[in-house]
Amino acid sequence: MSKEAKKRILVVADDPDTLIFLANLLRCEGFDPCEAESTVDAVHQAKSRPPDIVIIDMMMAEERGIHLYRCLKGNEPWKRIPVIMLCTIERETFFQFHNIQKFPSGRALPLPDAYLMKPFETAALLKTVKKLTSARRIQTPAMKRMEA
Amino acid sequence: MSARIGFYICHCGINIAYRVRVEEVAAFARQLDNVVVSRDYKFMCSDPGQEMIEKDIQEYGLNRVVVASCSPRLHEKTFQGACQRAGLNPYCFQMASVREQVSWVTADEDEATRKAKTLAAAAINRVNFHDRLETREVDVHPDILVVGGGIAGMQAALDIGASGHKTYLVEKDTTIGGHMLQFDKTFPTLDCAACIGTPKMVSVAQEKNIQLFSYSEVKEVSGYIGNYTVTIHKKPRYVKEGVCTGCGECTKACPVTVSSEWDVGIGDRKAIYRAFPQAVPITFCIDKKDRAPCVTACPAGINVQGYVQLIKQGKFKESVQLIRQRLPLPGVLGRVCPHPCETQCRRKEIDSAVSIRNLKRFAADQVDLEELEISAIEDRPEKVAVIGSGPAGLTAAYYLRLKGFQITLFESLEKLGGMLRVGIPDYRLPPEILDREIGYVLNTGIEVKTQTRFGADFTLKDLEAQGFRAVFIGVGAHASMRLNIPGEDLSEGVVDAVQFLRHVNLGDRKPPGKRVTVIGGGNVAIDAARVAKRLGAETVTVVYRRSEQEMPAYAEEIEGAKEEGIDFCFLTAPVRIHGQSGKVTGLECIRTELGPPDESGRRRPVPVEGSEHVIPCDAVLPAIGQRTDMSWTEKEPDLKWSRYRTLEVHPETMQTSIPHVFAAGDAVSGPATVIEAVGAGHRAVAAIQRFLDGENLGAAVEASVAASPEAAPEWRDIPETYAPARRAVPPQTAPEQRLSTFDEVEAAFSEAAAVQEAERCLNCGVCCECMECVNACEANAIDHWMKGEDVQVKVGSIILATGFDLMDPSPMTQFGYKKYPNVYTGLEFERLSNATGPTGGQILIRDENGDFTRKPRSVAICHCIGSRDVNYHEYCSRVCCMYALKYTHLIKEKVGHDTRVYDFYIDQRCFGKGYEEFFRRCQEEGTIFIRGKVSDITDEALDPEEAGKLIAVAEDTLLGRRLRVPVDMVILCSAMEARKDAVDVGRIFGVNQGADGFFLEEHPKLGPLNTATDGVFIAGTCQGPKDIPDTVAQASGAAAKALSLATRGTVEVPSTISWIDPDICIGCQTCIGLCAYSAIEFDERRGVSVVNEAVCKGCGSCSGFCPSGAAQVRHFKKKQIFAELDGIMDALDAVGM
Repeated sequence: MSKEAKKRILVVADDPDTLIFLANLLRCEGFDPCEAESTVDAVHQAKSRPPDIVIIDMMMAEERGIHLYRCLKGNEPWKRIPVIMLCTIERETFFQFHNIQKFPSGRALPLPDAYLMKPFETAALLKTVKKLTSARRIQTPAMKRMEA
Repeated sequence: MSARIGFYICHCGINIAYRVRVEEVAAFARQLDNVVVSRDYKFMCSDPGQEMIEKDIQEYGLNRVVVASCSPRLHEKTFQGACQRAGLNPYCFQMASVREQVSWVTADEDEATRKAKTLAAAAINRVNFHDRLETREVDVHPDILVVGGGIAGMQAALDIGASGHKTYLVEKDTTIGGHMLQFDKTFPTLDCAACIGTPKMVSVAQEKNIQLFSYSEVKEVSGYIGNYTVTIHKKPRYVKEGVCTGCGECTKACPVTVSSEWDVGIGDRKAIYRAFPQAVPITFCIDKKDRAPCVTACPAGINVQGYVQLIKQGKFKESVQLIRQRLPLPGVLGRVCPHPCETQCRRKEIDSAVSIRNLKRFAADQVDLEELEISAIEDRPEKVAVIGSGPAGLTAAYYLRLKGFQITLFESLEKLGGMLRVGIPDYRLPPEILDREIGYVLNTGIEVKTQTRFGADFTLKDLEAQGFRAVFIGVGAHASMRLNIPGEDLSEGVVDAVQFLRHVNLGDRKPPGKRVTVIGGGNVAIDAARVAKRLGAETVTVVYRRSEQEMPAYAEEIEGAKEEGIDFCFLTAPVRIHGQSGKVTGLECIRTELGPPDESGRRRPVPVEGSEHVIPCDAVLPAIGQRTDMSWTEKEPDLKWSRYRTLEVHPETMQTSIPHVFAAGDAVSGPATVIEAVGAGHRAVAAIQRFLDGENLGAAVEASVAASPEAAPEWRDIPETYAPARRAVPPQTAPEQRLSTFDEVEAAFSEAAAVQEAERCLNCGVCCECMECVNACEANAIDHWMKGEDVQVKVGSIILATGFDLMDPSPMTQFGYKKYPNVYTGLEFERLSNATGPTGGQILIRDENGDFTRKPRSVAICHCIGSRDVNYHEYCSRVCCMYALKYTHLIKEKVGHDTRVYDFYIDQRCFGKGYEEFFRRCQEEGTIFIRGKVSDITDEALDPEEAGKLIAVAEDTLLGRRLRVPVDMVILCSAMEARKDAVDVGRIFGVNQGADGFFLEEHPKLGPLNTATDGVFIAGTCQGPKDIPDTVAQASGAAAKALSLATRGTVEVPSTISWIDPDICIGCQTCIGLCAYSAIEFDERRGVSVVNEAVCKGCGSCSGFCPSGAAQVRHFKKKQIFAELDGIMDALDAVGM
């Protein structure tokens, strides 16, 4: 994989162990991971260079993971970037409890592209990442402008 | 629904059309997307112009309107109104500025037309994306705040009050009235300022709708137009409003004189004062700064400034009574105190410290204690034992007795006084002084048991059995440290100095030997040496192991000893005492040199090898330190001791390890000063009282911490006018006469010397808290413990009328202000001419003593001092020409028509009603007008005619001639400038300052009374220099503005405010920190930031920084701004740019 073609993966987690583990794992697999310890940091990184995939630890304190997910899906330039949610709670319970299918305003919030239970199998994660990165990315004009 | 846009371009008469081909722009716009109708018209803002828009909206079904004309500030509201009348949301309108931005600033017609087209295209493209916004209305609180009680503030408050609305009038000074009430007459009608000002002040006081906060300042303002919450800080006056009758008896009693701010420093006032007799409120005020450094330095907390001031007034008895509030032994401490107060005295910054200790002694010596009445004591049943009758014990006994407790004082010796009695020689402290003061203490009803030794004759258990509820231990440090050198135990000739002094003081006047050596460098060593000399010793030598610099004895004592012929061997340490048949024959010593500092900070003496030598002597008096006699400690095992062999106590409450036992003095601190023992005694007294009252001792600790002196105390500024004055020195007996007697060496001050010395006090704390005013006040209006308080009020709008400061001309050294005594500012002249001023309204100048005695025979009045001057203020101060004319008239009228008055002007600006006529009148009165600014004022005479005069140097620009005009008096018409606190006041109220420092109005013509903050108006000289008629007119205008809000009851607030999209907010709270108006709050439950729409001003700070893009300003959303830019970019091609 040439350097230019490396897929950029934004990993967002407030727990350094998760962050380091995921970054090392992805780097070893030839991806270009960028780490964000906070949602603000994540947004700034996404603004400066939109990633190909975002992996969010949904167990971040004060529901920050959910806020970040809404922010990504509610902003035109980022709404089509695939998101992988990592969570210790079983998918249905989590979605139901946090009413993740809707924005606070009531409009529909798309479901994440993947949802993995922690602790996850590294193979499963890598398989998901590879699947999502190999899918043809649809670029919006805004994304093109930002990347330019 | 797709957009249907109507476009209109205005000719603005020819303002736009002379440069822009408006028809061409209209035709261009017609081609653009969604434009349904496009027109040009002569005056779009006229009624027909607006009707055209309304009609088109109806006929063409327009849902968007763009007008290209002047600027939004002028007519956006006009066209929004037209849209609204036709049923269109006003926010569906957009304006393009083609006058200010195009026709007025573009020279070329083609270029102007092209630019107008692009701006029109931008507005049209933008309006496509406009949202319909709801207009918002908020309720307006009916009450109004007026800040500043000068003529503007009073007028505004009266106008508002008369309408029936409640007004809060806040004035930072003690009286309302402002600068105008400092003036004598007012131009051009020459009515007396007080005659027209005081009725207004009285009306303010009597208007039931006005609540006056005098001597108060606004601390904080929160909220928004219609709903402000204002925190007003009421400074303590220390005199109760409504109780004070304004009789003024207190000022007669007050000993402290300082310069009067109301008289701008040319007159004096007392520490308790009222600005002028007609002040409103009439209540007096006490000027208190932080406690003077002498007071806070005194370990016993004696009110030093207070008693010094009473001595100044000749009130010696009152002075002693004030000292006695904290010190039972004024005569004793007046002699032996090491005076830490003098160390802190600020008089040193001018010359040298006030001789405070000698003043105390002087006062104590003046008063016959027999005549000093003992205050009534309310007896209490609780018994307290005081062990030890030194300074700590006497303090505890006396003040506990005054609190009513039954005191028994136990003393091991036959006489009372402790170390004062047996440690200090009579020539320093005559025993009769001590007897007299102890006698007074005992007269309060204290039982005494002498020759009763604690530990030997009684124990704590005995006391408890006898019903003593609390015990105070002040047994001192009477045992001596040992030298630990060979020969110390020789039976004859080695006497420890403390013991020696005790024997002598108790009457054994036998000399210790013929050749006496004293070992040590403290006060005991020097005392022993001087006493030995007085007892007839031929030679007395003091041996000290460090140098003179390190000696802990008081410098004056060392000096006295030297004068009396006592020898000193510095840098000498004792090694061995030589003896023969049990008698001392000499002291072997070794030389030392100073090494590095030890734990006490003093340099450690290091012996020099081989330098041993013997000082022949027959007596050795070691005086190397004292400690507490611990022989009794075994009997009291519960008492804890520190590793320094002193009693362990709580440092604030002096409580020992046994709850009902307290201790202070040398037994706790180790050997220390008398005044420290008194201070510690006071702490114990306070704690014992709390203990016996069953209160928590911890609270006492908190209170004492709260009362500790300020970290950065604010004291009275040292007046520049104070000349150095020598510190008084009391007379001393000649050294040769001293040696034959134990009579006191130092005599007291004479009364004249004492009063003169007391006058040197700078009154750092201003009020000296002598309480003379309290005694003088029949109405009981004075409360020295008054605290400031904060009051919160709610108002709908605010009027700022904070006035101006007069520029201090002293930095302009060429005019000699403060250098020559007869150069005055305009305001100083006003006070000289005012009947309530320091000269009672006579225009007088200073004589060589600085007193106002002489009439000026000639006066120069200099215009434009600091104004119309690029180095200071570029602006014209507007009033100086007119008040200068008024001065010319007043001088002619009051001093005499033969007085030569020279008026140096640049231009005479007599612009108001009746002003030019007044100018003519003054010309006819014979004033000499010289066109030319004075370049400098000098006293260097070039000919005899100029001798002793001030010479005004100027160029007469009409004659083209240089002039030197000798005069007696110079008046500088210095500039009005913005208040020094304008920055802070502006910040509190959200009002900006202009380049000149004055508050900035919203628009000089369209909003001269409005400010950048809605609902905050300005009036008077805080906005810029102006005369009284203009100020009053503005004040009424501002009142009308505030009233129009209040009477309507609601106000429309802009809808162009921020909004945070909760869908995408990540809750980072960046915006909360950025918002200058505190308009954003965090919703903890939802985890997102929320805008308080009522408080938001729509500044856009939050939207600029919001990382997630959630914060946006309505009507200025990203897509709207980008659409405007896209419109321009797209049009560039079309117009051929």
